[in-house]
Amino acid sequence: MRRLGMMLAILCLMGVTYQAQAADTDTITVTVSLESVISVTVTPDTWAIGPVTLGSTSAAAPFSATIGNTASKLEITGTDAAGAWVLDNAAGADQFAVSAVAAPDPAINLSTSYQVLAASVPAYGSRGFTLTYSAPTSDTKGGGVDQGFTITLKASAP
Amino acid sequence: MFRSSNRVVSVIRRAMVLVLLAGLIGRATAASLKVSPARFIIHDVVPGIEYDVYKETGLRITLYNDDKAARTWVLSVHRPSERGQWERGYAEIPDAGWCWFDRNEVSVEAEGKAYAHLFLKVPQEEKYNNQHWVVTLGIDGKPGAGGISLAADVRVQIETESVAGVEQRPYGILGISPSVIEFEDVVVGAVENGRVAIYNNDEEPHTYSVRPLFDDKSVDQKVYLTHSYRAVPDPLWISLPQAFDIQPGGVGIADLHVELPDDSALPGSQWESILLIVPDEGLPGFVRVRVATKEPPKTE
Repeated sequence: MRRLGMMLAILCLMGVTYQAQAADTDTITVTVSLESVISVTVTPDTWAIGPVTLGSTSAAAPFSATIGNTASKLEITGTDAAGAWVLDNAAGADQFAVSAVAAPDPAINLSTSYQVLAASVPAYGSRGFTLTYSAPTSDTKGGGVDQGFTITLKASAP
Repeated sequence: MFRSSNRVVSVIRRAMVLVLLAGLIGRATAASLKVSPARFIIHDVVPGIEYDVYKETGLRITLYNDDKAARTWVLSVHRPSERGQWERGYAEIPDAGWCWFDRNEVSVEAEGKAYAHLFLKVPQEEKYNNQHWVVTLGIDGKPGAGGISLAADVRVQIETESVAGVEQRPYGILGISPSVIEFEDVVVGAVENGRVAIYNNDEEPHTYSVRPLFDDKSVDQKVYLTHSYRAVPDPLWISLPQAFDIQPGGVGIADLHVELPDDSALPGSQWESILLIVPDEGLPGFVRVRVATKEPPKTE
């Protein structure tokens, strides 16, 4: 009986040892920089385009993007309009265009995929940019139709 | 949401006046998005095990709202070819569904913060050991919120468990085993040897060269180094093999030799080098080489 008890104790100890090794083997670790925060602030956060007739272009609207403590790349994308006008490289029939300029980076015409607006903005830096709207040259969707759209500005580590 | 129509000119003119007035009294508002961390590395992921990254490591994604209004953010996970980018030497994760959040969206009260937990499970197959992958975590302003929407990408480098002597060929066009070589208790003057097997899983023969990533001074070392390790200060510490050829479906062995010069590292230090395995065509892989110098003798 005493021998059985000792064997059980040994088996228990082996079990504990095995579990400890398994836990150690399966543990993940993480490396993260202490200063690792990605942050972007855009001012203003709305764009009042104002009156634009078919085939014309709005004035360039100024914006500013401010970055936090991590140097960041800024990318920008747009959506098609709610009323079925399509965001395209240039204005056309039921197609509108939006150009973005964040000098010294090259000007871009927005699409529904992300494009680089500013390749690298230094930590705690700001980058001004402008947006310009070109209305469709003709409209088949009708007046009073909501042709609102959304622009998204994305920050990521460069 | 922006509105434009040539049929409501008078209304828009009135709106413009209001906009101009708003500008004059300085009411332009700002929107912000702040996420931490911006990027991180998960080491030693064992295929077949489901990880709650917060439970295992204490790391979770924190979303801060510095604005005066509550914000809702949509969370998503992507392969970098779909969204984001990946670091040199890493491949994109084969399936973004191997990572997920504990929720699809997070609401953050004004001037508050909220958290999201990341989970991870790589399928239990030996070929998924020794992998270096990147996955993109997307944080997006909820669609339809209007105005300028904000988004951020968090880059996660996932490194699966390093295993030597695998029976199944590692996953990917370029396979490596082991993916981490550790030299412990290295002393000055002694030569330590290690080797890494390189698998050509392509259908074409390739010539491979091995070179330290940090020879490229444009590389941000922090992006690659393991916590508590510093970059090997002198590439001559590690002798590298000459370029070598591997036939399709073949395996090549790269021998590495570590020798610390007399005036080298302090005792008890941890150093790391990222050795790129560069094929003549295609994306490189890498092996992580860690060198820990022997602790100094304890004095009474």
